[in-house]
Amino acid sequence: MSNIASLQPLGTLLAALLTMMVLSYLVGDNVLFRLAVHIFVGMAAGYAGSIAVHNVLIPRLITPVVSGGLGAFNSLLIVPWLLVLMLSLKAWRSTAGPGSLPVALMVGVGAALVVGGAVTGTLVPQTIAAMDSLDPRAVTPLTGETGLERMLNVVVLLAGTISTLVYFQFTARRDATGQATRSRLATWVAYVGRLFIALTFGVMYAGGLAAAMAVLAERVQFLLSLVFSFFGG
Amino acid sequence: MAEIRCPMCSQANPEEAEVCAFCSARLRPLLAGGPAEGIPPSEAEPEETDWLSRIRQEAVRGQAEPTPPPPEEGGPDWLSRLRRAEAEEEGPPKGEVPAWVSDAVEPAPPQPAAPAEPEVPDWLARVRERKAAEDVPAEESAPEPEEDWLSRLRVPQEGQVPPREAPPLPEILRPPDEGTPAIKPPPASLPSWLPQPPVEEEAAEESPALPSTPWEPPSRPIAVPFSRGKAAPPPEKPAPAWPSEPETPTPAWPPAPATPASAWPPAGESPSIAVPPSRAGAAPEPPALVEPAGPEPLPHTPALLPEEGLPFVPGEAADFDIDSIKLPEWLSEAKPAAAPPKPQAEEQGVNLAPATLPAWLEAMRPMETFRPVVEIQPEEEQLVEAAGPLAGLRGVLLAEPVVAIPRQRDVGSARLDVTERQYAHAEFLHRMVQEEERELPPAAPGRRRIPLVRWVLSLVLLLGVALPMTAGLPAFALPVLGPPDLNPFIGRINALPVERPALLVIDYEPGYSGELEAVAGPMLDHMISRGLRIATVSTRPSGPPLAERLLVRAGVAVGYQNGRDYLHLGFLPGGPAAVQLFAEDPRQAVPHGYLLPAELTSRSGWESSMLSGVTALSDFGAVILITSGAETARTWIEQASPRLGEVPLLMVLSAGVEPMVRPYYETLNPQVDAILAGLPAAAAYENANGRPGGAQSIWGGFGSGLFVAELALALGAGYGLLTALLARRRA
Repeated sequence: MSNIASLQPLGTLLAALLTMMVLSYLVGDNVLFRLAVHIFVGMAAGYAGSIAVHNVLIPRLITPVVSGGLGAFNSLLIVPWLLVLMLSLKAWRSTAGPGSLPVALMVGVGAALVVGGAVTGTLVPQTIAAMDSLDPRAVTPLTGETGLERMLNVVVLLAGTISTLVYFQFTARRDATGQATRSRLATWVAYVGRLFIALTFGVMYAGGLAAAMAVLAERVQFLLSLVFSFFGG
Repeated sequence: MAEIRCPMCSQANPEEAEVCAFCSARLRPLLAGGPAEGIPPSEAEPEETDWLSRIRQEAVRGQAEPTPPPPEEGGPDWLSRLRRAEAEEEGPPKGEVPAWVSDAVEPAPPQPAAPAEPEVPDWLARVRERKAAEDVPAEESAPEPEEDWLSRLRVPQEGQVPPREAPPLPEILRPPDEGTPAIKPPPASLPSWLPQPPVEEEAAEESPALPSTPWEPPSRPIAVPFSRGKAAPPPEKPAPAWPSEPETPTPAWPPAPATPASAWPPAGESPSIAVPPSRAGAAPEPPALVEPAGPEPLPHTPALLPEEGLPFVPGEAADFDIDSIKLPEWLSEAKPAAAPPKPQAEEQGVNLAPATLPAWLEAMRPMETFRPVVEIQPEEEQLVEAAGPLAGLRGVLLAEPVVAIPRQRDVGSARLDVTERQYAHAEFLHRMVQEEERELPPAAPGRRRIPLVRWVLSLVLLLGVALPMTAGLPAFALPVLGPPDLNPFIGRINALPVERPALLVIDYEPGYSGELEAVAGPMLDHMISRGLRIATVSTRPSGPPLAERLLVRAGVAVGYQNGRDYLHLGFLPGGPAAVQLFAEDPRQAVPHGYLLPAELTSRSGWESSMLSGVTALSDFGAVILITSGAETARTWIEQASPRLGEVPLLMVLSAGVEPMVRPYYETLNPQVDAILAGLPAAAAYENANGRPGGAQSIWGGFGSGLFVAELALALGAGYGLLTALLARRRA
């Protein structure tokens, strides 16, 4: 532990150096920036691999066998081992066939979970919430909107929802020239929906810009503090 | 003795032999127009024992030896006779004539114009008679209407066996009874089985004048089944259209000799159908075969011999012609009578020729592509066959027109019927394929420019962020009023039970640590101030170290210790499935821990006293998610929220994720109980806590940087708008 504490200044210097290398991208694409990116990618992959080995493979596959011996092999342990062996066969092209089974199992289970969760956790609740929000008499408990503010919010919410849905309606009738065109009303409503979508993207961009600015400010503060500490003692 | 081998059977023959003694093949090429080499004409007589001679003898058998014409110059005698025999031979030899033809020919009375000679067979006599009739001018040979074959059909022939009684007619075919109004067919239409006449203009110009006689069937095609003569018994005839009913009086059908055509309908409006032979009470006589009156270069051989005694009708060509059909009067009314009738002989001599189809029938003939493309040259210009059994003969049919010359296909068509729309789609697809195959030229190394705008903006941005931190200028005031979400969030933290640990989910990438550590800092200060115990978990491998860094920074001042006040459960692998598993059984999902204290290293973090009563997700005091991704937030909402029960779900969000998570919060039944997003909320939270933290320390730089960024955005938007307006004005 003391060794780690002694390496703290070196870590701080390395962090400052890597920060400078990344910020060099403001000048343009250069070798320092690419080197820093490669270092981050490599460290992230290596660290994720080591975490997977130390937190998953060893305690869940190796330790039970080592501690319990062959007698510890039961169905809960044989199946993971079998799947791991089959998945490892994908390393060679000639034996990649059996490796598709664990991959298919993971993809299938993941897709089922995501779809089921999306329906029960997002689609149905959000649809009900959108309908409930249109009631001007209802008071949002977390925002406390009442009166005219609530009414205005309901109108904006209703207009935004309908116009956005109309914008994503891609069916239209063909006119005499054979060209698919929307009706005039649908065109105007879709245009309003496009404005709402643009507004949403603008808000998200502003949020991302604010997050990036906060990170930049934190990094600049880190560098300045390091410089001040170095020169100021 | 020299020998010559037959080119066909390879047998040896004497040198002077002209034909093979074994296979009768000619051994020497025969040159037409010249005498046989070395053989005088008188010596060629014995060679008539060959196959050609036998055929010729068979053809002229029984015929008196005609006076041989003078032999052609340079031609052998036998060849001259052969040609003469071919010119006269217009009927099959006696031995090859079918029996039914012989039966039809034998009872015919002798023609005075063709005196029968004992040596000349009957069929040859008739041929000669017809040849003589061809020499007669057309005007003289034109038959009188009264001499029509139909008229003759009505006259019972002498010595002819009366026909049998025909079977009864169906009702629709019976002639109308007396008193029954005659059925008059529509004058302007023809039945479908009748050949349709050509248009009026063509008929007026090309067709001869229609005789007033009833319609006569086409000479040759229809004459074939009726040409068996009177000896043919009636039952053997093909079923006539109108079988006779002699016992039924039919006043509408006048006696046969009086009217050549049927009186049904009445005479003036007689139908176009010829009177059936049986109706006249006589055996049917075939219609006269018609020979063209004009000079005929090619001999014409009818398919069957006509009945003797029947004059040739020059107006009827051998081939079927719609104009040669004699229509009844009622049908003639449909045709204009404007065109004056042309002389029949002139018409026949000009338009009608043997083996020539009418124009309208020629147009319907699907045999255009099968016609030979090789013209038949005169015999003198034709080549002499040099090999094979036909060696030495001229005029041999060539195999090239049949085998070697390509023909046009007559089935189907290679041309597609493409509409403009389909053509446009095909062109579009063609362009797409061509675009895919086109290789982009290598980009030329462009001139390297100095990114002055980029450098200026970067410098301004860095100065804008750094100056407030160093010089304190420009100064941005801290937010006094926090966002509306802050107070509910603070209230939720205040309401957390102290006896139950709170679960802190660290699900953000290290790159966002600068923002989220500043945002989550005041919350952790608040929790630590309240003495809440914290357990951390992460679905990202980099999560546990970030959790350790975050808690150490927040709790080092108050002496928070690992294993006692906080505990890292570690990495939760498996994504959404792991979240669901963790929500149902946390101990099974993350059995160990990360950076556990020494007393728990060999055991599980769940054995810590801090987590002694936790067996499910609902046993935590709260679940607080710190994330920088909307997908991660949604995963926890969807998978863990239904299993939380009364445990609140709080979220500390990056500023960019807030719009995606807010819909789960601002509802009547929120799935997220409180959110804390962005640096302004964190700065306000620190104000509320009364302890400045990381958010306020970077607040000046954050505000100044945002101001520079917004200014740059505004300048860029103005420049782009101005450029667009200038470009439009130039355009």
